[in-house]
Amino acid sequence: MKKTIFIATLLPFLALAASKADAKPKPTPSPTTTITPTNTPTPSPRWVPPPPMDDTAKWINYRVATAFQNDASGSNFYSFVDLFLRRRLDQYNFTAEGDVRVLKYFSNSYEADSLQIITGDVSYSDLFLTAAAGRLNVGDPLTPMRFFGDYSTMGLRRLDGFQLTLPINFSVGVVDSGQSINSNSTALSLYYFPTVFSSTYAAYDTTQSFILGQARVSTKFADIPVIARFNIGGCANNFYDYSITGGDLTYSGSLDFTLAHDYEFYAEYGVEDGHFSNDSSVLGVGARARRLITFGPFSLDELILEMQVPIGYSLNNTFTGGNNLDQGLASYPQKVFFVGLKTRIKGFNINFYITDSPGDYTFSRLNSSNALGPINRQPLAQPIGPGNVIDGLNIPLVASAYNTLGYLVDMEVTF
Amino acid sequence: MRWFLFVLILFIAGPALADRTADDLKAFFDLHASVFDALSMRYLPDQAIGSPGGGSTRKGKNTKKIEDVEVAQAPTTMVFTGSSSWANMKATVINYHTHFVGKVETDAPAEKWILKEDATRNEVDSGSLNDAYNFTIDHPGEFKPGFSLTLMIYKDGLQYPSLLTLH
Repeated sequence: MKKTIFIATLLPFLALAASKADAKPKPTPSPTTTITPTNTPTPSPRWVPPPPMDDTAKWINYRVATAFQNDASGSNFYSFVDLFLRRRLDQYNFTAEGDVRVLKYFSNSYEADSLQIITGDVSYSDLFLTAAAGRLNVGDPLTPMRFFGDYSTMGLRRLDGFQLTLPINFSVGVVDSGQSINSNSTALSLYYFPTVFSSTYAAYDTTQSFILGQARVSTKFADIPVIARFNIGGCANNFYDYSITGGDLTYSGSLDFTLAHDYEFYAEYGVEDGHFSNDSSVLGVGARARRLITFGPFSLDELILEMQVPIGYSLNNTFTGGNNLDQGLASYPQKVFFVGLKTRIKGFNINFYITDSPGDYTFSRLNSSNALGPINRQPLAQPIGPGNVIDGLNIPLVASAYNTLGYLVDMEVTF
Repeated sequence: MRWFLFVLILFIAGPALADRTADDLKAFFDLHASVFDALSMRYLPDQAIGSPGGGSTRKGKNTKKIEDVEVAQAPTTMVFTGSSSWANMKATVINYHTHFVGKVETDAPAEKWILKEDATRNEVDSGSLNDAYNFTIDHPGEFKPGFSLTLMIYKDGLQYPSLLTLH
């Protein structure tokens, strides 16, 4: 017991002594030491990991659709599943995008009829340029038209190749009083495509190389935003006169006016073969209205009206009905139209597309009765390319004749 | 018995330690009072990480100084607009003098912004976005004309740089 009392008495003193021992000494004046900073190079890491792949770095979307199509390809029911993938811009300014489609015609089978890479490109974007390679979406950058148009690529909206874009003039507005000042902005793009032919006739030995340049100007006309595009290009060799592969210059220009964000009016004039400019020139005009109206669960989301007017006529132009193999089958081109209507019942989309165009000014006009193959010069056994495709859906729609309507009804859900 | 000793130590040593800590903090505060005063002058009252009642928790001799600072360095607002081939842009910059806030609007989705000093061409700040049509940036330091803001605009499947000069 005595021992315990002794320890209990001693402990407070020990605790107090310990607290004093831990106490910081009062600051005492000491000579000031000057530390001279030295430039010690920071050693770079031996290995830098790739950018993280968390959920915010990627974007994935799906479309499941069933469609009925009645056109030059026949009457077909089919279903397709689209997978849209996008790698968002990472810390090193790289990005990637891919659209994959699996399509199956109606039958008692589990097997898909086609697997398509609609878009698949990787790109790098810096402060002064954007560079991309792969299967590119060239339709939207090159033309404002949604079905016709894109005359500088014969209506092709997806092509394998390379793209380089330089923004060369920026608009600047300095406002202190709430006013806005806008000026023109321009970008130059250069495209290189090893070939514009379908895989059956493609050759990657530069003989089919196609180079295309574009100047894009954004401006305002009477306070209406306008985008002007000027495209010029050419193929390395002459494969087909009256087309972009005629070995001569091809050029086109377009204007795109946007009113109140949802209403667009646009036109494109194109010459597919500069050597036959009088016989291969064409004008496309169109209008698009979005977010139109909603009645209860039913909504009208978009209406597209387009017309294509041939400017030049020649029975030798195979891409507008001419025929150099059998002149008796040749015909003149006609005005054609396209209507697209996108509707929605709550989250269920029903879209209608109709045209009377047999595919003028596209490669789909070539067949075994009017053209020879680009390499073997034998009658064509396979199509060289598709006709006009529906923007967004990426499905060709070609009427079997001028007086016959081709149409497509698409029911889809996106999520 | 051992529990008794432990509790006894806590009762005796605890207050001593607590008292020592409070004393040290007070001494530290008094020693650097001038530094705290100087720092407090750098902030406006509405920028304080305030007490629940709002306003600064420090009263007294510095009140007049804070009022002077508020009058001399009131926030200023500037609006800059510009366009590229892919987007129209507008930035409303509020200069708080110790930092500035930029509220940016664009008519096409942006995935990244980069703030640069034009004179040095150095990137001073950047941030990632999630297909944003409007967003806010907050950069420390005084806003001075000579910054430029680049937005990476997502259009037609690719990212395109769009420059908005802030002067």
